[in-house]
This record gives sequence, structure tokens and C-alpha cells, in this order.
Amino acid sequence: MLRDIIRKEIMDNVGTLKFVVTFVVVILLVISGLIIGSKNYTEKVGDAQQRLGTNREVLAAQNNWINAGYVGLFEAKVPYVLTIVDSGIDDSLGRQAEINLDIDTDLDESRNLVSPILAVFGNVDITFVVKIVLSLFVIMLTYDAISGEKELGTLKLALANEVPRYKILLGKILGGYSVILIAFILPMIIGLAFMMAFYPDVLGAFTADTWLRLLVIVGIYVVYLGVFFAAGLFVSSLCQRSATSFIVLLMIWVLFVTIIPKLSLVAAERLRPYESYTSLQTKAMKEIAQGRSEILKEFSDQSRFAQAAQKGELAEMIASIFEKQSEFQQEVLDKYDRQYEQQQAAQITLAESIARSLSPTSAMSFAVQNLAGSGWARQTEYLDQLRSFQQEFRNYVFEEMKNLDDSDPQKFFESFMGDKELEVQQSRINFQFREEDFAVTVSRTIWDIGLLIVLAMVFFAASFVAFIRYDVR
Amino acid sequence: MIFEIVKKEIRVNLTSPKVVITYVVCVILILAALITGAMSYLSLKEEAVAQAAAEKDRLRNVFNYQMDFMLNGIYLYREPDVLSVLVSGVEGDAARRGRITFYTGSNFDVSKYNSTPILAIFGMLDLSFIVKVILSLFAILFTFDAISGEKEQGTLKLNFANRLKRGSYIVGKLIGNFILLLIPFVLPLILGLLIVEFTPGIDFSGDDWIRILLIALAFVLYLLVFYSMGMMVSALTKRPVVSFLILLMLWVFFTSVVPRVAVLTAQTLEPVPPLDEVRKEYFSEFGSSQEAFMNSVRGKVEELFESFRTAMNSPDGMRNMQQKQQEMLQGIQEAHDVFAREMSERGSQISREQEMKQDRQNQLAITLSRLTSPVAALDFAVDRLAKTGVYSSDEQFRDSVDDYVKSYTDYARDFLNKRPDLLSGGQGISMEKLDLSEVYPDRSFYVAEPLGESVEASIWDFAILALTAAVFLAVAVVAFLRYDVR
Repeated sequence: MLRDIIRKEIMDNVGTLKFVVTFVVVILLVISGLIIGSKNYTEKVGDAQQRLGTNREVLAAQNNWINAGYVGLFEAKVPYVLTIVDSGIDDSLGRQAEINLDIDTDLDESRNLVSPILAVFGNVDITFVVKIVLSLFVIMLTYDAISGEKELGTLKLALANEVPRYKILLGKILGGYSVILIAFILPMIIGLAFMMAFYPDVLGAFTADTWLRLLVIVGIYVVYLGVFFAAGLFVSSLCQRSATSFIVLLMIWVLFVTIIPKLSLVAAERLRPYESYTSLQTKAMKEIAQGRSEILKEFSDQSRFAQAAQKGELAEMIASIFEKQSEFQQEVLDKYDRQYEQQQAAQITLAESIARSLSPTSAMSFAVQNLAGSGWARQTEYLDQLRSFQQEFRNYVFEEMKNLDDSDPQKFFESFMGDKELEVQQSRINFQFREEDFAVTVSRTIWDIGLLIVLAMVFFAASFVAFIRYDVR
Repeated sequence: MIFEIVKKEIRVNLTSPKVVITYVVCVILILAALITGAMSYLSLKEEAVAQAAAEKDRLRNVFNYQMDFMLNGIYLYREPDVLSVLVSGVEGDAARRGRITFYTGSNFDVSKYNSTPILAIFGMLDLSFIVKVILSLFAILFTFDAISGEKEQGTLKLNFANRLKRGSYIVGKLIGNFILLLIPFVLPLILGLLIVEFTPGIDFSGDDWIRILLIALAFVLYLLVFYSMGMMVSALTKRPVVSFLILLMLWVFFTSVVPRVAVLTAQTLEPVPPLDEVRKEYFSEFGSSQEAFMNSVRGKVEELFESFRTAMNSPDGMRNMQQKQQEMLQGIQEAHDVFAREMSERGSQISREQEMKQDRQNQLAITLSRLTSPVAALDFAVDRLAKTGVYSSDEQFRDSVDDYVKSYTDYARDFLNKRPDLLSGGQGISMEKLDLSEVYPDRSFYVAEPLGESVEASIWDFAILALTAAVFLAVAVVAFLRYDVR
């Protein structure tokens, strides 16, 4: 009996206009989303390689290690390949960094900064299709699942037989969910096929880790749609009229997708404001200026220079002065910058906690962004690794500076202002970002995934209870 | 008769759950958007002002002219515009800080401490978003079953059992329901604006009020477009479910897909080479020019080093060394002048070319998207009027900073002429504290786009919105006149 009910549900829905239209729209959006996402990804990788190429040439063209230290390296962040599925906030995040002796490294020049017109409209990626199009489709599928049949009069007819209520609901659940899966999974497969045709390189960049992540992402999408599906059934079994359930579901949609996330931000800003950077900066600048002037005093002591030159320790002395200045500056920045960053991070964490507990859409967004590497987490990790690398690079430069041949002024001058190209050890100027382990990422998103599953279960249970008590006449 | 119908439409719907719920949601959201917009504006403005003051302060204590003033340059900050309270535009992503250095002209970034990644994660809740996404959805909600629903319920034919003219009926319906849609927008807006105006620190000038009025008008036209689209589809279909489906798909396409496709098309048709490709050329030129510069002072520095060695061993040594130092500095300064001028001209030239290409691409993207989507037209119109868009804000800031580059470089060069000792090759250190704060401009360096220009630029968008609405309304009326009401 159950199987018949399921089959009836599927047949009923697959033939409707709403399914056909939605299916066509989803296929178009998924294919274009993946293709455009791949195009963007390929461009970003190309931009990054371009920048890194410039790096090596510029560095080698410097004629002494002090200049090399100040010109430094130009780094570029390569996005994670799964940004083709979820673009997250990657376009708003900085992707270029400079590593040198002077400025503390930071990721700058987001894509949207360079072309702000891209910021005017969002990205149409798979997350968008699921979040907006498919969730609305699910609402359209379920708002009259119960109340509609009641209005048509077919509900009481179905129950006139010996079919237990719960079987009817179960049949609807399994049948309806199958329809949703068809409307989503098929287009995804077709989309991946298109990608294989047009951007085989991008697919080639997928490691086993990547496929696992993609699998989990698709799983999250499916559970997310399940939440809306269950909510739809629940509301439909609470309302006598379809029109009412429709309005209620649409409002719930607006609430989850737009209102709660945005209001969470507002709440977090009020609840956990942080000290403006300017007041921190003023303190920091004062300390730095003071310290630097003391260090620079050492340069004016010409007799020390002369002495060191005689003893053959000129290079070491100059190098150690630069080193001291750099360390001091970094210390001050660490004190104030990190403090600021921590406060900022605390506010973000609060906003995210509020949003994910109240809105399944936020929970889904964050979980997917974590797995696709398109969110804030990967950015902060990237910056951390860049900072460690910054220290390594600085140590390398100081080492080389100390090794300058200062046995006689001519030789010293040569190494200092000559036109010989620097011999740079490639291994010491190559930065390789270590992607987070799949297991670690999943453990970070387990909370969101759990929330979604629990919410879906709650709605399903509630719809059972409501349907058992439903007046079918 | 029309008036009666208008009253009936309003009365019947005003107490329906649909209207009540949407009204409550609108009031809460609009007030929340305006109030948070105001708070955001105030804190961003405070930051920008403080940053500028701190920068000026830094310039009062310059210990290393070459490093701190010429190489690192100076930072100019953009204050947010007061109208960002209503429309945030591209504020979240656009450059807030301009940097001018002696060798590379201007470049822009969002200073880390002005950046608010939390906004990127959650998106801005501004009035523009509410109208564009939520109110347009409500417009569809109010209209999708306006005609087809009544037909399905059987009440439509009853209306015409009397001597009611079809024309009167549809006009009355259109007007009545539109008033219903406007109330939850206009009333909270007025209330919110009053609250914001009376917030200390926020002042709308006369100019601003005109812009606000125009922005509100743009929003109303935009809602009219979706409203009339809803009515049109409802009058073209027999079943509300079908009209809703069609309208939903249209909504998704107009709000997201179409504008994005337009931008992508523009990017394909007018590509811009990435900045680094261009910078590569510049850096290799920089390298060889620098080499030439270094060679020309080589001799002087050699002598200087020789004098270091002999300094300790003879009484004349010290004097000799100081004289050599003077000669060296002078020679370096002359060579440097040539080198610097070449490089900064080249740097500016490269930025200008890059900007022109980017501009062409932007223009194409805007044209394509505004012609294909009313959402894009609305975005451009209100962003322009609120001075928070690509052109009226980002572009204006970049232009203002670029205009300032000449003042800065002239000042730096003049200063060097007076103090040639500041350029001493390799490490270039001056132990004294220099006060260069007079080079820092006051707020007037940033010239906002005048009202006339903003209006002129957005006139097309108003026309597109009005025309689209008119067409949809016309089709709705004609379709209804031929509608099978049975």
C-alpha cells in the first residue's frame, strides 16, 4: 500500500507545470552556475600565477638584500576549487598580500574592490539555486500537500479505506522527497557532465578530499531542502485552507532566508561592539614612532660604523639594526592588531551563533562555506599561515644581509650597490598554503549539519502529530 | 464608481492575514534598516575622521623622509555619505582608503581596520535591499491572485452581473491594491526618516532631501513594475497557482540571474588585463631605471666609503669625510630627480590606462543590465542618487585622490629641493623630526557628485522603470478587458 501511495505522489507531482518549469530552471541555473563558477575560478588562478611570476623576477632584479627585503614578495591567494559550487564571500575577501620587512602582511584587493560593479549583484551559484529557487519550489510542492487535498475532497476519500493515517503521511513524505531529489540531483549530474566538457582542467584539480567535500555539501543541500519540505508539510497539516498555509510558509521563507541572518548581524553589533581601531592605532603609532627613533639613533653613530668596518663586522651590524627595528614594530603591531582582530572575530562568532540557531538557511550557508573554503574560516587560516611565512622570509633576508662580504669597502659596495643580480634560494621564498584536512573541516561543521537534521526531524514529527489530529472532512 | 471599487479593495484586503502579516514585517524591517543604517554611518564616519587626524599627526613626526613619506606615501580616507543610511550601495566593498606614493601614484584599498568582514558574511540590511527583494515579493503576493483568484473563487463573474463596466473595475482594482502596497512602505519610511533626522550627528541638507525624494520615487516606480507585472500575469492566466509560478520565476530571474549575466557578458566583450600583468612591465622598467640611477652615484659613494676608512686615522679625515658626503648627496639628488619623474609619470600613465579599460567595461555592464532588468535599473538609480554607487562614490573618491597626486608630488619635490640631504642613497636617514602635516588636505579634497549630474545620470533608469510599468499596466488592462470571467 505504501509503495502505491509513494508512486501516486511522485506521478502526481512530476507531471505538473510547477515541476516541469522548476526542473528546467534548475537545470539551466546549475549548468550556468557551474560553468561560470569554473570560469571565475580559472581566472583567479591565472591572476594568482601572474602575480607570483612577477614576484620572482622583481626580487631577483634587486641589487642588494636591503632593497630585496623592502620590495619583498607578492603573494596571491588561490581560491579553493569548490568555490565553483559555493562562491560564499570569496569575492569580498582580499586575495593579494605583500611580504616584506616593513609592513605587516595582510590580504588585500578583493575582486569586488577592483571591480565594484560585481558587488552590485550577487553570484548565481549552486547554493543560490538551493537557497532561493529550490526552497521556493519545495514550498510550492508542500503548501497544499494536506490542506489542498482536503479542499479538493480527496483526503477524506483516501482515508475512507483501511489506510492508516500515518501511512498516507509517510507516503507523501517519501514520494515528495523523491520528487525534490529528482529536481536537484539530476541537474547536478548534468551540470558536472557539462563541466567535464568545457572545463576538464577544473575537474582535474579535484582531489579525493575535494570529492568527499562535494559529497558532504550535496548532502547538506539535501537535508536543507528536507527542512523546508518538513516545514511545508507541518504548516499544511495545521491549516484548513491552502491559501493560509501558503502565506505562512512564504513568510517563514522570508524570515529564514533574509530577515534572521541580517538581524543577527545587527544584534551582534549591539551586543558585542569592539573598540575602534583608530584609538588602538594611535596608541600603536606612538609606541612605534618612539621605538624607531631610538633604533635609528644608532645609525647616526658614524664612529660605530667606522669601527665595525675595520673589524669586518659592518654587514652584521647593519643587519642587526634592521632586524631589531623589524622585531620591535612587529611586537607593537601584534599587541594592538591581534587584540583588534580578536574582538572582531568575537563579534562575527556571536552573529554566526545567533543566525545559525535561528535560521536553517544560515546554518546551511556556514556549513557549505566551511566545506567549500569560500568563507571567513579559510581566509583567517590563510592569513595565519602567511604571517608565519612572513617571519621565515624576514629571517632569510637578515641571514643574507649578515653574509654580505664586507672584508673590504670595494667588495661591500659591490654587494650593496652593485648591479649583480641576487642569488635567491627559491625554496625559501615559496609559500605553500596547507589546506585544512577534510576530517577537521567536517568536525567544525558537524554542529550545523546536526542542527539541520534535528530541525527536519522536529518538523516531520510535528507534522505527524498535526496530521493525526487533522479534521479531514 | 471607480472610487467605490478602490474603497472596496482596500477595505476587503486590509484585514486579511496576508496584509496584516506583511505590514508588520515591513514596519519592523524598514525601521530596523534605517536605524542600523544611521548607526553604521555614524561609526564609519567617526572612524574615517579619526584615521585622517591620526595620519595628519603621523606627518608631524616624520623621521625617515624617504621611507615614511616618499615610499610609504600618505593615506587619504573616504567619509561615508549621509545617504548611505538609506542605500548602502557598494559601500561594503568599495575602496575607503587611497594611498599616494612618490613613485607609484595612487592606489586604493580597504584598510584592514575599516574593513568589516561581518558585512560580507551577512550582507547589508538597507532600505534598498528591503524594497528590491522583500517588497517586490510582497507585490507579487498581493497581485498574483488578484484576477485569477477571483475567477477561481467565482466572485469575478458576480461583479459583472451588474452594470459595472470592466474598465472601471480593473482601474479601481489596480489603484486600490497599489495603495495597499504603498502604505507599509511610505508610512514607516516617513517615520524612520524623521527618527534619523533627529539623531544627533546626522544632518540631511536640502540637497539630500531632494535626493531622498527621488530615491523614494524610484522605489515606488520599482514596486509599480512588479505590481503591474503581477496584475498582468494574473490577468493572463486562469489559475492563481500558475500565475504565482510564473511570477516567482520572473522574480528570481530579474533579481539575480539577468543582472549577473549582463555583467559577465560585458566582461567577455570588454576584458581588462589583470593589474599584475600591467605592474610587471612597470617593475622591470623600474628596475632598469633604478640601475641607471645607482650607477650614476657609484663613484661618489665609493669615495665616501674610502673616507670612512681613513676617518679614524687622520685629523683631516673627519672633515674630508663630511665634504665627500655633501658632494655625494648633491649628485644623488640630481640623478634621483630624473629617475623619480620618469617613474611617477609612467606609474600614473599605467593607472590611467587601466582605469579607462575598467571604465569601458563598467559602462557596458551597466547598460546591458539596466536594459534587461528593472532591478538593475533601480540599483543604479538609487545608488547614484545616494552617492554610494560605483560611479557616484567609488569613482568620485578615486578621481578626487588622483587629482590630489600632483599637489603631493609637487610638495615632495619642492621639499627635496630645499633639503637635498634627505636623499642619501642606501639607507637615507635623517635624525631630525620633520613636520610635513601641511601637505595633508582637509575634507574638501573629496568632491561629491553634484545633484544635477546624479539626476542626469539616473534619468534613464527612471525612464526604463516607468516605461516597463506602463507597458505591464497596459497589457494587464487589455488582457482583463478580454478576460473570460465565467
